[in-house]
Amino acid sequence: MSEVEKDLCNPSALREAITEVFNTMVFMEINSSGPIEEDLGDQPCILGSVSFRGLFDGSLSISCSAACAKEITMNLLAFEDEDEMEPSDIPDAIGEVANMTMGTLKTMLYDRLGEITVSVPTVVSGCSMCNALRAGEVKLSATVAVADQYCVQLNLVHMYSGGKA
Amino acid sequence: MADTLLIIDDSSTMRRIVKRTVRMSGLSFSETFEAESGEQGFEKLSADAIDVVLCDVNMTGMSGIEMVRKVRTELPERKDTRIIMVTTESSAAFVAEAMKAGADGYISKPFTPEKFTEKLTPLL
Ligand SMILES: [Mg+2]
Repeated sequence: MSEVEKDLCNPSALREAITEVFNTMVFMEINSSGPIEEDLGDQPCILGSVSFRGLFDGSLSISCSAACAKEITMNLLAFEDEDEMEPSDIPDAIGEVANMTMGTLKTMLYDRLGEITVSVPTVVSGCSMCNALRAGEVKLSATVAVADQYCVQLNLVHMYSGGKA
Repeated sequence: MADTLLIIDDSSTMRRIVKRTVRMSGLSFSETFEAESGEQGFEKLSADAIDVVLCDVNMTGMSGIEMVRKVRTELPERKDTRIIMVTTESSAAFVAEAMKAGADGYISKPFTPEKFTEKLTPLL
C-alpha cells in the first residue's frame, strides 16, 4: 500500500477534517471517541456528498439523522428559531458541510495527493442508505458523535485513477 | 464613505454565513448585495461600481475564477474593485491561478471572523 493510500485509508484524517469544520463554522462539539449510537427509529437520514477527481477518484459523503441535520443547520446559519428556516436550508447546509470537510481533507492531503477537483455538493434524503461499491472501489468510514447526542457518519469511497481524467 | 460589498455564492446558506461572518468580523459596509451565480455577479458588476467582492469558486455555470477573469478583461472600469475568493481550495496552484485571473486575495473555508478581518482590512 502506498503512503497516499495509507492516508486515504486512515479514518482519523476524516475525523480531523470534520472536527475542524464543526469547530470553526458549526459550533457544535465533536467527540470522536464518545458514544456513537443514535436510535434513528423511522426518521430518514440526510446525506450530503461531493465527488472528486485527481490521483484518486471518488466521493466523500456525510450522513446523519434528520434531527441532527436540523440542529447542524440551526447552528451553521445561527438561527434562533426553527421558524426562520426555509425548506432548502437543511440540504444547503449539509451540502456545505460535506463540501468544507472535503476541502479540509484536500488541504490536509495536498502534499501527497496534489490537485483534486471537487464537484458541487449533492444532497439526498432516505432511510438505510449505504454506498454500493463499484469494482475497484475502496470505502473508508468514520463515525463521530456530535453534541453527545447525534452521530454523523463519513464515508470516503475512492479508486486509484493515476490522475487521468 | 463606507465601501459596498457583493457576495457571490451559489449556496444561499453560504451567502448567509459569509454575511454573518462579515458582521462578526466588525467590518462594515454601506450596502451588501448578493448574487447566486458567476453570471449574476458579472451582471451586477457591469451595472454597478462595487468596492469589495467576496466570490465563491465552485459554482454551477460560470466558476468564480472564470468570473474574475471576465471582469478583469471585459470591465476595465472596475479595476479598483477588490475581489477575494472564498473557497475550500487553498493549494499553491489554485492561489496562483486565482491571482493570475485577477483576484486580490482568497479566504479559505472553513473560516473565522478573525480571518475575514485579517484578509479584508488591508484591502479597505
Ligand atoms: Mg459553491
